[in-house]
Amino acid sequence: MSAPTGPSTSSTLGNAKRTLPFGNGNGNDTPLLAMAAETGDVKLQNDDSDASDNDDPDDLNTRIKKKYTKDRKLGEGAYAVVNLGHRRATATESAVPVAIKKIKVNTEFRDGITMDAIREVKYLRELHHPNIIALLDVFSSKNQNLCLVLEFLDSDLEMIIRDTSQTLSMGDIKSWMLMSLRGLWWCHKSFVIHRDIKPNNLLLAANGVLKLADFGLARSFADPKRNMTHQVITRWYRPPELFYGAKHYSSSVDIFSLGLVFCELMLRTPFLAGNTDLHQLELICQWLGTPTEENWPGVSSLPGYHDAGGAQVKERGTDFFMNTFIAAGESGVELLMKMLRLDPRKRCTARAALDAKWFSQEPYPTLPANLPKKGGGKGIEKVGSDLKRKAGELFNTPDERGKKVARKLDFGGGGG
Amino acid sequence: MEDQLYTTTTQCKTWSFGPSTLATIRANTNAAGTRSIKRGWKRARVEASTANTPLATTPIPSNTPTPVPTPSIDPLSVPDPVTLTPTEELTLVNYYMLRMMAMSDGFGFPSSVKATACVFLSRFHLHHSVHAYHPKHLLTTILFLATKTENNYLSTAEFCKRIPKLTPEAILKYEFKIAGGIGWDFEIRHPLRGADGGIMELLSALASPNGDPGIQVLKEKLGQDPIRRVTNAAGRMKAHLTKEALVSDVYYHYTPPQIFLGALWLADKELAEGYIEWRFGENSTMGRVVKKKKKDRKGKDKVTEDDAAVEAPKAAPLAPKLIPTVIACAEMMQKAQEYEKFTVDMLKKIDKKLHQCQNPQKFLGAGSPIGIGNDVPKKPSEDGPPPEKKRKAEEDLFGGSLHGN
Repeated sequence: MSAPTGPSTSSTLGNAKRTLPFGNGNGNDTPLLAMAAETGDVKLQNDDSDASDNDDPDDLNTRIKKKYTKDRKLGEGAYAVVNLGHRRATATESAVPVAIKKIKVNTEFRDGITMDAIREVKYLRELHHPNIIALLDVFSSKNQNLCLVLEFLDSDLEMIIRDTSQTLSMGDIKSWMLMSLRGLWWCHKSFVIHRDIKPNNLLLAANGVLKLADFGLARSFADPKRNMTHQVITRWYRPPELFYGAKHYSSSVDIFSLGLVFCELMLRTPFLAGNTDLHQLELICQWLGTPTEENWPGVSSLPGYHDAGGAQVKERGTDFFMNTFIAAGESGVELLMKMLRLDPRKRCTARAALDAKWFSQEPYPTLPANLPKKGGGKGIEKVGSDLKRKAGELFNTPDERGKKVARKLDFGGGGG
Repeated sequence: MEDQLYTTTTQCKTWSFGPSTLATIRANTNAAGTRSIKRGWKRARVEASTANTPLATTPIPSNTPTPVPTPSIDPLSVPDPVTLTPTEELTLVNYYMLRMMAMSDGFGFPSSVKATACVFLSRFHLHHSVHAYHPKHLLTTILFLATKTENNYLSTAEFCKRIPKLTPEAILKYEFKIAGGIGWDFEIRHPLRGADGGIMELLSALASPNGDPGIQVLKEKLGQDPIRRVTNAAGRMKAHLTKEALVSDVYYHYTPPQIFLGALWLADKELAEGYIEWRFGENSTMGRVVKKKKKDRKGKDKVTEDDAAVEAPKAAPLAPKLIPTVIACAEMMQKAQEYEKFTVDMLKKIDKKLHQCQNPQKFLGAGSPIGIGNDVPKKPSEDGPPPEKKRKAEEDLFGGSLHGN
């Protein structure tokens, strides 16, 4: 904590792969500065035509845009169009495939850049981790559509889970869980809650590495006393506190979601697949236990708490989990139970989960390169459609979208 | 305190500079802006000299505050206008930053929104000269964008209700430019949260009956009512953090915790010194809290624990290195107080210079305005009101009035 920061640290951390429009903040970035100065020149040369469309941010924008080619469409949805693209080869680097996610102008949201896009850009600009999707560049298209240039990833965990022709070993599952937890740990360490953890947001690179994607619902930890919305996380992966309308919650919501992904990897089908929010809560009560003051002190004072009535199920213990998820073994079940505790305060953190015995016991996590893959054309199309979905949605068809989404964000004062 | 995590942020990687680098960037931006004005004038001059219509018939707005060129003057003989210096640019930006703060307060936005908007404005103008981007056209856009990035979204419709004559189109028009102009770096690390944490830590330590020896020493220094003294200082500190810290360049040079301590130093030097000694001094008992924790488990918040865990293995105390940095940071903030003292006359002079630069057509009789915002028809009220409305003129000088917020 000595002198002003910047120069000394940026050399090690200023990752050359990232595109920083104005240089790296080094003391000796003269060429870049000169470039910035030049853009000022370019602007005014053109401004006979239209002063507003030929100034530096646009010019910079054009330079970024020109770095990429658009190859073909991978998918289109209500929210975004995803194209496969390439970063053009340069003298030093060969062409790299990328996914270009073009956010469509939203008909419901007439206030410029949408909140999803703001969040996604905000957090991905900051989060750099091998298990988090890399945002390579941002530019705006002619029609003022926002385009995010993302690392290209061929498949997602949902495809693997659904492809029943493949057998997933416990080592494979361990490896995916390990990579997910690492990515999540980095988010939480950076004070970001993902709020939409589910198999199709866990993308897989061609080399088998798993990466967290879709930060359209993410947010920073709230300041004390500021309210947060409970309308987040796709229903099947949503923890009980959100169904009870909690206004203050923490990164433990992501842990619960990932716990359910863990179950799904073993069962090969969603563990708790409710048809409605109410049904989902019933399933949680039935399979994990009924939240009570005893197992979750304070739960009854949550705004949306209601006594479900009917049979009270005691919070499930080791016996139940061992019966249902025997494949995980004792230490695996131990971890799973810690992730799925009803009381969010009792759930483990990502850091603690990474320390679980399970990961250091045989069978060891499979090396990413040896993990089952679902490559090829179909994979690409599917990821295209994952990327274009609105955050919080499970399905792409308009009908289903209306019913099953977890997305009515309250943007009003203090919400979100 | 300057943790690993901070070094991964765009704030540290892209937006931290040494003072000389910052000055160089500003000089380059200013030079580019100046060249752009020169080029615009050159073009206008060519247009004026080739125009068939005699200059005398060129309509010149009668209420323009700038000198009206006489028809006998040859456009080629009119000298280029004097452009703003980097210092003048900065003065203008900072003046508008103060305006934007007032606007934010008018809306009742939390300090995080206000502070983020100010950083956006400053960063934008670091690379975009006011010669091409008059800040008065950007304020509402920047404030609106900050409400979105700080999760405090207020619709453009609401904005327009509160600010007379504002339209949603006007707010959104430059949104992409601003967003791109700040490199899409929406996350700003403010000292505000750390400052709150520090004060909470201090208050709870002072209130604890069996505090460590260090806090006892500090308590004695703080006189009769230590709690009250801290609370009062915290109020002043917060004011510095939401004003001087933003108007000055400290965000480019210092980390958020350094800025927090600098603001505390300005608010109450003795308290800041004592706090730093307690936390990071040679005899700091805070540094060994990890062990102590076992004995008394109450009263320490989590942040303290983490920090202490990091500090513990370090042999050399941080305070001797930290204090000069904090003082330098405090001094930089204190210097920024001069911006509030700038007279309207001085700002008027700068704005007039800029107006002349951006409007060659008014002096040459041909050409087009330079920079953004000039494509929208000007409201008559902005173009030099009659002298009898001088008081109002001062308020309206730089764009629409903010009354009614």
